[in-house]
Amino acid sequence: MIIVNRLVRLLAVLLVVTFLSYVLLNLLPGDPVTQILGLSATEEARTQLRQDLGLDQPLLVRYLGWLGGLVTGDFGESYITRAPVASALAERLPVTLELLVAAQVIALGLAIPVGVAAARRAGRALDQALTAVSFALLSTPVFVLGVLLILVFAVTWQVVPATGWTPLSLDLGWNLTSVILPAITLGCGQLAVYARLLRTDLIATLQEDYITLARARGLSPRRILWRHALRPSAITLITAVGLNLGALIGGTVIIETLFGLPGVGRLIVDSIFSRDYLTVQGGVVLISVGYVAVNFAVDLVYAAVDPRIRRA
Amino acid sequence: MKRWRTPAALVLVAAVVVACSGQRPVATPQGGGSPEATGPVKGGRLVYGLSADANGFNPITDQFAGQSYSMAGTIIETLTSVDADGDWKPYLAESITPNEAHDEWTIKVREGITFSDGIALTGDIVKANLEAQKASPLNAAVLAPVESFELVDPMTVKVDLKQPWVVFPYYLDAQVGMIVPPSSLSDPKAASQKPVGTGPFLFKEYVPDNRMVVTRNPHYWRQGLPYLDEIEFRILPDSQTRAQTLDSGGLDAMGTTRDEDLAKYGGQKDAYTVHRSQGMAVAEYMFMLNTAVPPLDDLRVRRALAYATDRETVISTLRGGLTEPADGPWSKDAKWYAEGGDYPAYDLAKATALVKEVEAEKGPIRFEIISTPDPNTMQGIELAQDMWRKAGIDVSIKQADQADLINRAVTGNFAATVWTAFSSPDPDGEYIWLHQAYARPVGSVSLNFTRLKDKRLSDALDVGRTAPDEAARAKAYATVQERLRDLVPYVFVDHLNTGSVVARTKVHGIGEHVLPDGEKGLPVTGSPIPYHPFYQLWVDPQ
Amino acid sequence: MRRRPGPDSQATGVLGRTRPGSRSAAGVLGRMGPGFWAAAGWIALVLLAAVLADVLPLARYDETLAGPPRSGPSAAHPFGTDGLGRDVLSRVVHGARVSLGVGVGAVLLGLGIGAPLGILAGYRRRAADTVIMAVNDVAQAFPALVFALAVVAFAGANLRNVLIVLGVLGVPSWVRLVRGATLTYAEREFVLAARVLGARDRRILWREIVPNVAVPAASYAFIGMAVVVVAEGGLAFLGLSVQAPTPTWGGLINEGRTLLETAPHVVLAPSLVMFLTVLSFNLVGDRLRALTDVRESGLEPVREAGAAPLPSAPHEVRAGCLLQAEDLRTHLVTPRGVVRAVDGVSFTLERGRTLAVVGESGSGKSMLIRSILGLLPGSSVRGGHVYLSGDDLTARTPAEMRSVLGPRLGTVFQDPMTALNPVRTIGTQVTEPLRVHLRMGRRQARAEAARLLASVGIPDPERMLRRYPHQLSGGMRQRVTIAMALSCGPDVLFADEPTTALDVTVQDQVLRLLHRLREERDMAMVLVSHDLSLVARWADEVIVMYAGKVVERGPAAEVFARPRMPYTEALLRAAPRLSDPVHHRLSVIPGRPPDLADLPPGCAFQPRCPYAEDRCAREAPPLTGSYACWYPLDEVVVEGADSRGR
Repeated sequence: MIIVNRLVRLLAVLLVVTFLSYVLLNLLPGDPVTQILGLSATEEARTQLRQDLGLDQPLLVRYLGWLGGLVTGDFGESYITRAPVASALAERLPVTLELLVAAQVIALGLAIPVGVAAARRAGRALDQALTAVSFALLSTPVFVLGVLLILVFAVTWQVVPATGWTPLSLDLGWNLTSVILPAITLGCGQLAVYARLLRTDLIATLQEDYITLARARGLSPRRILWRHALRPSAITLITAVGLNLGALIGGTVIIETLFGLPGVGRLIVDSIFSRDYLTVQGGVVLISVGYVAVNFAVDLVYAAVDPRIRRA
Repeated sequence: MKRWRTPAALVLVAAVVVACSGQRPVATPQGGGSPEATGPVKGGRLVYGLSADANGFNPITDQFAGQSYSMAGTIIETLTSVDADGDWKPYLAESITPNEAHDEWTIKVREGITFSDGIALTGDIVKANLEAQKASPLNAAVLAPVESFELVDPMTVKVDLKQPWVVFPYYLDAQVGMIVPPSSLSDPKAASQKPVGTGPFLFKEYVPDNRMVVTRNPHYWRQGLPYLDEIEFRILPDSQTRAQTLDSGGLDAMGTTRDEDLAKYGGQKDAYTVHRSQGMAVAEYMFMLNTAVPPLDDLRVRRALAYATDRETVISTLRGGLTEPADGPWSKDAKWYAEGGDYPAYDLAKATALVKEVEAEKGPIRFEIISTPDPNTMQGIELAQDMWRKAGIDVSIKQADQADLINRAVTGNFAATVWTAFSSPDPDGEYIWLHQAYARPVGSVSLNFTRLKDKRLSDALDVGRTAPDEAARAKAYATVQERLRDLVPYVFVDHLNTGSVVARTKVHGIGEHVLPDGEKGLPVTGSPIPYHPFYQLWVDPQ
Repeated sequence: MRRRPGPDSQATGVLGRTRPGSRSAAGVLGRMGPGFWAAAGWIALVLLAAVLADVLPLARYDETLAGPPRSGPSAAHPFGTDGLGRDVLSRVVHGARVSLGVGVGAVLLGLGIGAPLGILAGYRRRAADTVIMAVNDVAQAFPALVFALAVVAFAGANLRNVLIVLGVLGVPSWVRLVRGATLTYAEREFVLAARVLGARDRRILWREIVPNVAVPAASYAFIGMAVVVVAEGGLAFLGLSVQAPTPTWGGLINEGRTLLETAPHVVLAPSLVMFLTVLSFNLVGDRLRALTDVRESGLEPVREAGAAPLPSAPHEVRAGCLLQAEDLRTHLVTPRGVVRAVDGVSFTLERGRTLAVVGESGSGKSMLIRSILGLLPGSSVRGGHVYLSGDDLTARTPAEMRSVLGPRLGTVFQDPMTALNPVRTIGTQVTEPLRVHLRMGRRQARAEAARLLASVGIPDPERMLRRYPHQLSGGMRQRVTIAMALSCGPDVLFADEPTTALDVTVQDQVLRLLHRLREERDMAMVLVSHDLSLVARWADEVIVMYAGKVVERGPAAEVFARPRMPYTEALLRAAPRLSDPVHHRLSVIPGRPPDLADLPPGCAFQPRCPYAEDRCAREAPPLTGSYACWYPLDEVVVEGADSRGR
């Protein structure tokens, strides 16, 4: 039942998002013909190509045509490269997913101990130091952080490659070394966000009676923090992780550009700039599905983490 | 940078400073031998950094940029090539000869060349390629003077022109002259992704936005070539991290346009070689003005802008003093450069006087300049904006993405924009951008973006296109330069010869290639980032 | 602490009781500490600079070649110059306008739209939730760049539009975040209770949900501000921010990053200013929130050695006595001053007996229990001694204390609704002490837990072990906490108002159970209550507390029959009636409990005492014999109190 419900919602979201983005994208000045033909094409050539691509048809007709294709699993072809959109997305999705997962693992792996340490010593020197570091990380844009990290780890110490991508299927070791710097760059900002959120919630949880009572039962602070306090404090953190995962499916463009990763973010952003409408649409579908899936997962995790939250 | 800095800054930058002054990758000296001493060595692999990906590798359907030539050029070859003197020379063609009137060219195809798929290169394949090019919407304007192609004998194609065209073979040096096998012609989509040609390398792998790998063509028609076993092109759009990748040893060579890189790598002669573009291939950096809309339809305003533009300051501020100020479309070291005309060199007083004069008549001068949003471009515009402000011209900056900007340029929906152009090997390559026949009113597609309609300029361009006599052509292009200086459709800033290829010293042969008939080839060419053939590149053995 | 209706546990109650508004603002701010002032000063400086940017003696922000390009800090250009030779200081100062405007504005916009929707979705659920979250999914999945491009293409690049873009793009995150936080509270007992009691939704939202959601929301707001300011730089990079050359912090960092290796100050200056600003906002916000909110992790007390332990009077340690408290004192150091929560309490307790500790809320009873157990907040100072079978507990470290807590000292708290961890099953919670202290295996612990649950009268204990606290009634939960307290066979059971939060009909059952268990297990029990009449039945001895001090003590029957201290009498009179609401405060005693940080001189009860004389206001009465009062009541029984001229 829940699954059906979610599917209906997914379809509704897909329809609205793809339609709105299609309309808006088409209203933007410029069109793919300019990108395909460049500067030296004549007006006749442009008109001809516009016809060939079907760009002379009304917006709604084109949208419906695309939608009809989508129903049969056909995402269409890129105007620019004339390659199928679906295969372009399929090629790039693993890169972005791996980057995202690695970044989340790094961010959460550090944020949880940092948040716990800060909450445990709330208001004291360690907490204040961690707060300052968090905001320093937040105030450092990824393009600055990325360049600094490359400088230190790739140029000076030469322990990892500066840029580039080795697919997982090719070589696991090289794949990991090629994902580590971008993942750290991406994860740092999120680490700061997560640690702050966890700290706040954890401090609140540590005031609960059941924590005091756990102490009254002679349980160690370590046990209380990790087994008793962490889970009830995780709701905001889970929300934030879900939000990030969703937002980053298309939002890793700067990281991908810096590190030369062939990811979805670059594809979508480049396609927006080259007005490659169908590729953008494909990306929008991907992001929508991703969002709805992530949100679904987040709600499931909510329920798993806090049994009081029972989905209606 | 010996000034005092705040301690906090010092601490925070420690990492940077350490990294900058620390270890530097040093090329392994190969027994101290110079290339002359050891000579080219076969084998090896080259990793080459590029700034952008291609839109596809099919010369007939895909628009080629510099990076497309670098990548596809290792696989697909052209009918002609340009030599070190800037003259065209046959490449896949054995010879290309005009008739007396230069309205008919006969292309004789070189014997004994086969595509990597085993098909032999013949006249009808060349003809099919040229016909496909003419039919492609990409090149309709470029090939407008062509009437038809005709197969004279199995290895000879005759090109019938509507008018004399003395430099037609130059165009066969680029996309138009790239020859692909019949299979590519019949399946253009496949050809876009997997290029096939007669070239020194074979397609191996292509991951969009990431890399393209090509391997040695063991049956290449030029004996003994190529030297390299494999080339990997890495697409790294961010110039800063691209340079860092070179630093870290991840690249053997890369293209760049940053003056920082020229200064940095130029100073490490033991570790790097820097190959800057020169001559006709150098693009000009300028502000392009729309002469069809107010206030820039007024010559006095255009001249005032030029007077207010301090080219030397731009060069010292933005280019590290590495470039030369420009006063026309061709750089001073190019053979077509000519003095003459009255280009408004920096003179703030004259600028202010002109502005006052126009203002008295028409009120304040205000317009919008369009820029792509990347920081480097913006810096140039912001600098110019402040220079023009000092002359009393109120310019605001509007940022537009590439698609929007090109669209505006083509349809005339702009007052001024930042532009780079004029990098064709022959002045005739600029014909469509400058000729009044290509100027259309604002609102319709015009390839003459400035919409400057000047008869003397256009007549001179026609002479340059049709006159077989070199001296006559030189005179015509002198007139072109003179008119451009007088009428100021462009505010020229500098010859953008910062476009260059930086390579580790273990890489040899960049810009030192020899054409099939023995002439030295044009070193590095194209803009903004130059490209060059790869067949004579070799690397020191590890 | 999270605000929750109902009887506050006194540990935090003494602090939370007084509202900051009741004292002068200056007085409060005076205690904020230097960090707060530095941060507030920095914000004021940045704001002032942003406002006065045009009149300050700075170079024009767009004046190129004001100095040599890329030159480091100098007297003429304190932050150096950028790639075009523009004064970086001037650009940073002018950039503050856009960046602060966008940072604050976008967060407010996102909060203004996102928070109400998130609360509504989390509280209402069902249709409202589905609709809001579906719209939210649409908003999130919509390509942000297309939206930003469209806004700029159609509405132009200026501060307002950038603010709108970033604000609107932030809304979905706010909705999700606030909804998530709301969800955890919408199902909370106090909210459910309020809903069952028929409180209006609006009231519940404002009183119960909003204050609780505000904490994570505020925390996210400061993070959000930093994120937005950086994001603006990203927009600037894409050409979708304010028109150049108008500087913004994010834009400056963007511009400067290519100079990172040659002129790092161009990136560092705006980065540092931005960092300090968001950090300052966070710090100021944190401190301001702390004024209304006590945030103490309270996990581990500060080691007392560091805080100069309070001296104690010489006394005799009675070896045969099970529990002995000697001159026990607990002082809390708060921003308002020292709160004497427990002030010189002594008692003894033998095995098989029940000691009742009685007093109003805020009298220090619960604090006394926590002092004995060593469960004090970090800001407290403890004095005196507690002996368990002659062993000084106050000399133990927290780690050493843990071997006593559970195995020898069991505890039951007043509110079973909050005493159990909501996310762990009953089984996990009941077996935990067994496994930790008695080192039982999983299977053995479960069997023992089931036996324990059965012993406290819980039907079908096996099934109960798999359930979560929220699936149980209040009475059942209290039985579970009792079972947990007894699991390791303690010698002393501390029951802190064990029945206050329960239904009146259940109260008696629970007390009866506690009494039975005490007898069965031959334990001693410390029973804390504000209700003297209730405990009189079950207690052997009573101590009555007021303002942290013992004001009367003695055998239960005696104190109950013949109170000597007027406060005890008043408590007896104020015995709650069945018709009172559950959390009824003893308002029948005139006046309010005193402010423990600011006690009146003399007898603390004197301002409320109907029999007070002059001497009561001058001198504090010592605890002589069984009571502390200059003018104790007659030996006459309670009924006779009227004869004293009322």
